[in-house]
Amino acid sequence: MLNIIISRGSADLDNKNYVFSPDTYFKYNYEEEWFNDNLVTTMVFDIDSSIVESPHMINSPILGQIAPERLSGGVKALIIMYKEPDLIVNASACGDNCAKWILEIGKRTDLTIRLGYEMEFPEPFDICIKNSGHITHTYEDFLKKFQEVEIIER
Amino acid sequence: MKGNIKVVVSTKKLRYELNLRRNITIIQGDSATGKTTLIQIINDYLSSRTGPGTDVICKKKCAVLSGDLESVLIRLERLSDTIVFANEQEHFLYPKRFAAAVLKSDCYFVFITRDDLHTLPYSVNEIYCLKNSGYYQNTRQVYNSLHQIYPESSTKKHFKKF
Repeated sequence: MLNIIISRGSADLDNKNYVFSPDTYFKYNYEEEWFNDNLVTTMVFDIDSSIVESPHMINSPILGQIAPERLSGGVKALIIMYKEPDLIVNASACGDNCAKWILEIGKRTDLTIRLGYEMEFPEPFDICIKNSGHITHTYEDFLKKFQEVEIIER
Repeated sequence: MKGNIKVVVSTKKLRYELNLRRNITIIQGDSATGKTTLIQIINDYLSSRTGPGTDVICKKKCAVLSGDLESVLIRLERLSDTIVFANEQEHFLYPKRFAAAVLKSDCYFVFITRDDLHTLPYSVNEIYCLKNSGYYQNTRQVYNSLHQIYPESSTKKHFKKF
């Protein structure tokens, strides 16, 4: 199931498994075999319009042949969520176009993410808001729960 | 600094045109629209790493902030009349001390972040996404420009209701 920790304001998550910058985490920790997975190549194609030719080379329509490090921040965050579900990834690195994939990963594995904005999840969905333990199924309800979370500034 | 400032960033493959109207501009939107690439090009250009074929054209100085909060605050104190860019996933964007430094500054700021910056006053009309509108004038450059996420026409209509 997909669990979301809503975090508003400047207070960071106090958890050793929290990945604030998926981009940086990916750069130092991605594994080549991740790119042999169908879901990974499908997400790369859907979000970045790019084709995984090999674990070392990705064909981007705009940037040409690129290394995995140059994929978008959103797709890198998705790959970490999928391949290392024990981590709590900062999903604010993902745009609305990643929402359906976060739900898909949440269906395949128990996943917890941190989110700081009102990502537009396509209905229907089952999302557990970890702040309150409430399970939400509609975007309207999700927005209400988002607004209820206290803004903490430091 | 006051008024509209135009920033054009171009490489052989990409061209960005930004028209900044206020002191704080926010860029957000879908993944893979070129937000991080924009900042990387400006940063590489300012560090003289790009060589020919890459340009950042603006009548004002440009700067990219990154690193820890203390270094960023020191740097910001020395910047004046400059367009300052900062990418998401920088811890310094969120503390109150950074917001206070921004408010004291005479620079224009372009922040790439989807999370709200609650301690900074910025207009809903200055929240943009990057959109790619095909190739630029018969060149091989993919053209990207800013589009308001909440267009003024729609926000005015919304406020009339009240």
